[in-house]
Amino acid sequence: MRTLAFVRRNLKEILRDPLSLVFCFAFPVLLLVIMELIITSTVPDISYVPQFKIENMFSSMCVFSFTFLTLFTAMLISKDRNSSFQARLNVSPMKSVEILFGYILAVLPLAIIQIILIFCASLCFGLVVKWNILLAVLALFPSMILFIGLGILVGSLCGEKAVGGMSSVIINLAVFLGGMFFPLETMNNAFTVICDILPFAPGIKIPKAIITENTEGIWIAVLTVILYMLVILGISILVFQLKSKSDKKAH
Amino acid sequence: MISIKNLTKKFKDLCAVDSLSLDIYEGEIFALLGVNGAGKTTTIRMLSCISRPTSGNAEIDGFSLKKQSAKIKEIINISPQETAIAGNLTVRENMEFIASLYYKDKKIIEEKVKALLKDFSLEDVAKKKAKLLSGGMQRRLSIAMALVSAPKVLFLDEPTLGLDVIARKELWKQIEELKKKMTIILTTHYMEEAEALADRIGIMVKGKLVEVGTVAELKAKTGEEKFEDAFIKIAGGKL
Ligand SMILES: Nc1ncnc2c1ncn2[C@@H]1O[C@H](COP(=O)(O)OP(=O)(O)OP(=O)(O)O)[C@@H](O)[C@H]1O
Ligand SMILES: [Mg+2]
Repeated sequence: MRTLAFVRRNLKEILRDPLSLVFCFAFPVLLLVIMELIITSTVPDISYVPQFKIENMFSSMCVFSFTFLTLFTAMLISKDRNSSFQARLNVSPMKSVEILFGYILAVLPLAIIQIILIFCASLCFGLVVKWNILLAVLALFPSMILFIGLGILVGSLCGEKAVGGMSSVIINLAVFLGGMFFPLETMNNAFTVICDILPFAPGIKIPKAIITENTEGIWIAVLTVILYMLVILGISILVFQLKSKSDKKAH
Repeated sequence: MISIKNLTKKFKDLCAVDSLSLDIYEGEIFALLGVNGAGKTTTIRMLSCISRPTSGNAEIDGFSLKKQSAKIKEIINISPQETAIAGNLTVRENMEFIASLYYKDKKIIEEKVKALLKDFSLEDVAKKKAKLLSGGMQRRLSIAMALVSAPKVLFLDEPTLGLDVIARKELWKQIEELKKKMTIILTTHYMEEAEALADRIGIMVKGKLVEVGTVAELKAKTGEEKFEDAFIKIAGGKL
């Protein structure tokens, strides 16, 4: 009950900010639409630029949109810490796990909406819908949790001013090391190794592989992402609890 | 009501609150005074279970701060030094949210919120987003939010910071009204506020509680006629 009330509060807090609507929902969808429009009208053969094939773009833009969950989770948590709003929650009978879940559960529905919007846009550009799209969506969940976890981490560690910077570092890392706009296959070895070690490229690879029914060797990517998700979630929960009990003063 | 024993808080090598012992009686308004950085907020944060003491303990209404913080949380509330409100929620939503942390029954929540909005003259702005209120109004909302749980002990950290003269006097009246129902510990930088409201005053200097007493007692002790001068003498300022 208490947690639900807090979830509602967090949703209102995020959704009533026009900026979050633009970045969470409009921006990734627009990017997909614009990219596809440009590519389909200028490139004669899409196999020259495989990263812009619609099943790739669908996966990339979903993960791209999740990066903004990091930003908005972090902004909300950091703001609540700075304004002593969290102090108020800590004084109430609410437990710190309830507070944490309140944040996570508020952001999850946003992620679902993101997927639905990007899915709809992808349909317009010829995404083939088969049963496996459901599996692909399911495969996006570890990345989703991962980025929310990163948001909790950044929000617990950074002050209000540093949150934007830290989050955009993560957003940029995800874009460049995730191979969203250039094919990782054409890069040199060292670079692809780094990309494979980090969770961003594998996170995009998995749904892509499921949609194209080309899942050979995908298990390594699955393991990588799940491992990162568990570790980041674990650390973020730990740090959040520590910070909410510690004496971090507002300023 | 509150019995504090050797409460201490250290931040690395800085002793923010140094072995503070003090009794606060039921139904009184106790004002904690001190210059910036004296340790007032840190003391309040420890007593309201937000921050863990380095050593020492306190009992609030018979419950031990160290061992029974859950019980203590049920009977206290706080209006923090920062205006702790949810900016994108309306005034009413802010109140309802905090109320729903304490009560399950929708009717009770509604009644509580309605009564407090009235008491704090927030009815006219009930539908306004909290971040759009003036600083003084936000302060009032912040205090009203602390009262939703009908606490036995209320901590007010600089409640009248940034309020105009009239709003301040109004809030004083409200705080005096509250006194009938609860014990109040407040901090302030306004001497006339402490004089007008407080039954007893404690003055902190560099983490230590150096004097406790009524306004008259503190004046007599220092031989000053004005309370402000008495405070300056105790707090260590040289004019
Ligand atoms: N989390 C923290 N880490 C390190 N030092 C801290 C922390 N919180 C408070 N302090 C220090 O402890 C001392 C007491 O701070 P406190 O906020 O209790 O003072 P205060 O009396 O409330 O001051 P003010 O009147 O400015 O609100 C200050 O020197 C402050 O810098
Ligand atoms: Mg203070």
